[in-house]
Amino acid sequence: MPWCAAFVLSISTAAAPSAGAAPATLDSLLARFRAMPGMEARFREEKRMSLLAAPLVSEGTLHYAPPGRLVRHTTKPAPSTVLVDGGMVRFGDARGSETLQIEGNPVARLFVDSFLKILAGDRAALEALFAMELKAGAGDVWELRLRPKVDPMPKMIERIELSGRGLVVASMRIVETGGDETVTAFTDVDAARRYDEAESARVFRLPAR
Amino acid sequence: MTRGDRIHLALAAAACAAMAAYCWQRMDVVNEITAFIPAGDDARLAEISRKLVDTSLTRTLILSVESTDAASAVAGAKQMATALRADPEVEWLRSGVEDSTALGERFWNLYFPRRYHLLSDDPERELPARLSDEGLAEAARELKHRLSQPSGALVKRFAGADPLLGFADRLRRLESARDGPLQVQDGQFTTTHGRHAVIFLASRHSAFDGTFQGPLQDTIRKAFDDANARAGGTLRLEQSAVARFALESERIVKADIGRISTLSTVAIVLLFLVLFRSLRVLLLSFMPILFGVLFANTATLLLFGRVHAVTLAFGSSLVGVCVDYPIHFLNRHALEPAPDGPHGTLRRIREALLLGSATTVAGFAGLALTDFPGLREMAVYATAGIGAALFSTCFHLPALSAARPVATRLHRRVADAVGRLIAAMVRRRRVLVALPVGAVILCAAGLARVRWDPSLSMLNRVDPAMLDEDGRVRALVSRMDASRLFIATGPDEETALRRNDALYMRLVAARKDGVLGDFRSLHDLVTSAALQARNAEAVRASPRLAERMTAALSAEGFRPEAFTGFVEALSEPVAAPLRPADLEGTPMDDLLRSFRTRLDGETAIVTLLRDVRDSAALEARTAELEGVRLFDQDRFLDSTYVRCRTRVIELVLAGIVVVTLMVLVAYRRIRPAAGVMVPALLSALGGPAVLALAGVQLNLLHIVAALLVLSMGEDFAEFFIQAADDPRALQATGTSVVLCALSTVLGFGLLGMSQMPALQALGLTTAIGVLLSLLLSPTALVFAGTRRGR
Repeated sequence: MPWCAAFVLSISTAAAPSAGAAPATLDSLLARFRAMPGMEARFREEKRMSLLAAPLVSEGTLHYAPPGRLVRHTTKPAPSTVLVDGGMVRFGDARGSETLQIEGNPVARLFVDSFLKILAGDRAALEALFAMELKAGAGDVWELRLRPKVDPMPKMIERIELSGRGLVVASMRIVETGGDETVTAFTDVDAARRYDEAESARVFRLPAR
Repeated sequence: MTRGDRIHLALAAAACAAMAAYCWQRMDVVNEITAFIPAGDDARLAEISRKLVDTSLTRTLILSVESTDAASAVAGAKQMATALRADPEVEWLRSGVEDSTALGERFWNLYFPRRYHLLSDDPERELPARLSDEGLAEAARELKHRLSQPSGALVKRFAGADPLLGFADRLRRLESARDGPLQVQDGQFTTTHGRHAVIFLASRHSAFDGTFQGPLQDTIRKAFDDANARAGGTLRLEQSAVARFALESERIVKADIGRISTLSTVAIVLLFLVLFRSLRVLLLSFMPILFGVLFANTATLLLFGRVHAVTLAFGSSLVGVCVDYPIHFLNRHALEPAPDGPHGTLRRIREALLLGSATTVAGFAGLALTDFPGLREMAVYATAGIGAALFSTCFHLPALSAARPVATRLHRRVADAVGRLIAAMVRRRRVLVALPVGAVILCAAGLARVRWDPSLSMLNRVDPAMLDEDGRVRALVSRMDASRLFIATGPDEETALRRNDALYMRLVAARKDGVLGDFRSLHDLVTSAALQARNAEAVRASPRLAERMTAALSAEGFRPEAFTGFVEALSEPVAAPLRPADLEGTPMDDLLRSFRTRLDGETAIVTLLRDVRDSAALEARTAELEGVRLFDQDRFLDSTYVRCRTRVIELVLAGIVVVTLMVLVAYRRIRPAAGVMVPALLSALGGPAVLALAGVQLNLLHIVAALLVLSMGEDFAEFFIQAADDPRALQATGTSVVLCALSTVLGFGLLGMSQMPALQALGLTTAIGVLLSLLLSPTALVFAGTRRGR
């Protein structure tokens, strides 16, 4: 079940190492991600669906701690948290919480793995899941396009587009085969964020009810 | 040796060979505690209990492979899982989550067309509000909320045809029924911190069937050793499995019986070699035992198809009775041979032998009148064994014994010493009176302090380390309680499902109120056809539902044209209700099988419980539900055990009356009858009394052992009374009794050192009782009022 996929679609995040030389190649871009000690960013996500006349908009903060912990705290329109840790996706809001297995679900695994593999800078793992294309623009601007190649993902997701400048990822766009899309813009990206033990315990968890 | 003797011996040899071959081929030792559940009263509960012994719950093994790092644990578990899947004894094995694409598709096909059949557990109460304008507005808000959740992509796929989220809710319930606290890493179940990788597997055969569980444990151990070797010895295996406890019990029983039989045999061999210095006498003394044990096993296997471990343990104690018959004959024949040879010697003691064995058989045969299969088995074993040993003593030993045996010097000295001792006791009448008086005081003091063991489980020894390990592994996976559950039954599946629906509602309330921690029910997978029909009818009957739903969705910002699937579905024919049979052969099949069974010709649906905090309150909440009952196996077994123990005491008392009557009929006078019964009774009661004084809690096996002592005590006393008027016969009888008591005490003293409480009880009671018998049996002369006694 693509619940986790939806989560990653919804968090639509990226990371931004500290500004420096423009990444001329995919290897150098991923190497920067690999060296990243952690990340924090604000996000604004718009989900455009054929079901809805107007997009669903959510805002909040995103946190990443290598090698595999990720949390999205949504503050608007209603508080909720999505936590990826140790092969599980946990969701919590004012009504309660639920836990989703990533494994055994190729769709969910692809999404979570792909996102975490980008942040981890794991090219081999990414290439197993996607056909990748990096376009370097003028100055520090770049665009990374991922096309799923593992069934059944190509039936659901047409492409994932990440764009940035220097080592700051500015946006992520996920285009579904049915025409729905999710666009996330990132601001206040801190790609040098480190989480000590106390912070980790506070940030990477579901809020107490 | 006459021609008749030769025929007897040839037939005996053939019979022994045939019985040995049969036992070798068919021997099946079991140790199911349910053998001590009555077959008559509470037959349904007994049936449930027996069923529980062989369910997927008891046959499931949980393996935990631990390492300091998750990757090693996962790799080790995967290697083990691959090896174990190849074992034909493994019925199924789950070590991770299968590819959910196929599962999702089958689930979709089964449940999506019936999404509104399963909308509510209480449609008459819930659906009017849920399908009202306010309810539909809330449903639209909920849909929007769900679309923003991690599960939004899934919800989006079918929201157009299911804005009420019936399918999504059913999906959640199924997931909660399947998932525990485990996560999956690289395709393998692991605990949250990843240090433990977990494998579930089930054996094809019962957890109590050591024939198959032993090799399966060997396979598990080998698979682990291979994985551990590859991991550089960093892995640790722990298990939770009923089979391990059963195997451990079986191992202890077999080891103890083996050790005790060996030592007992060695002791008897030494005793005989030292006293008789004759290999022939030695071999002859074992012949009735061999014949008796083979016949007892054969008869038990023929009648019951298997032998219970407790019966086998009891059987080893029966050797103590059977060996007495050849001892009496061979000792008497050596010390006081009849002029007309061995057959003449046999005639001299035949009356005592027959009366002794008849009273023994009568005492044990009473156990066959119980409703407890285990006790009936013991009764058959004892009756067959004693009868066969007596038969062999009477028909085989005389034919094979020397016509004119010569007693060794040591044998004569022992006999003289015993004779002098008896003569001295007879002369000092006060001693013979004081002994039973002392025994009465001992028995009174001890029996006044008797405390009964309250639980059947205490007959068995559970290794604390294994119990801890089991608890640790179970805690990792948060399993349901295997011994406490609800059962909804019905003459047909639909009735059982309807009762299960009603139970589900009560349990939801009980969980909410904190009466129980959690439960797993078939209701999450499938409900009764009646409930499904009521749901479907309520949805169809809701006025202008499509129109009002569309309006509510529009008001929440949805595009009405995206929900044509919902509108069309309302006008389509109603799908047939989902039946349990529809789940067979699907990935939900293993879940279905753990919930559904046949019981006493009816369909039974099991609801598993965890963390029952108030059993009485739970029972009260479901008391008026027809066909539903809470089954607490531990409580049931303990109450059954108490009834079993009470029944056995009643039967033993009845047996004593019968035996007393038999002795009265045999002697036709009260005094010799009292001479047989009083020392025997005091000896039988003495064992439990001494143990009670030592603070030991008594159990069923103490009573059975006391019955054994009673039988031996009667034999001793009868022989004394039969020989009372002949000093030489009395001397020989005294020596026989000493030999019998020594051989028994040597054997049972060792049984008392067993790790298994059941064997300990048998051993200690018998050893103490037989020693008391040795002391008290000469007092038969006082009670009997023989000339020497007078």
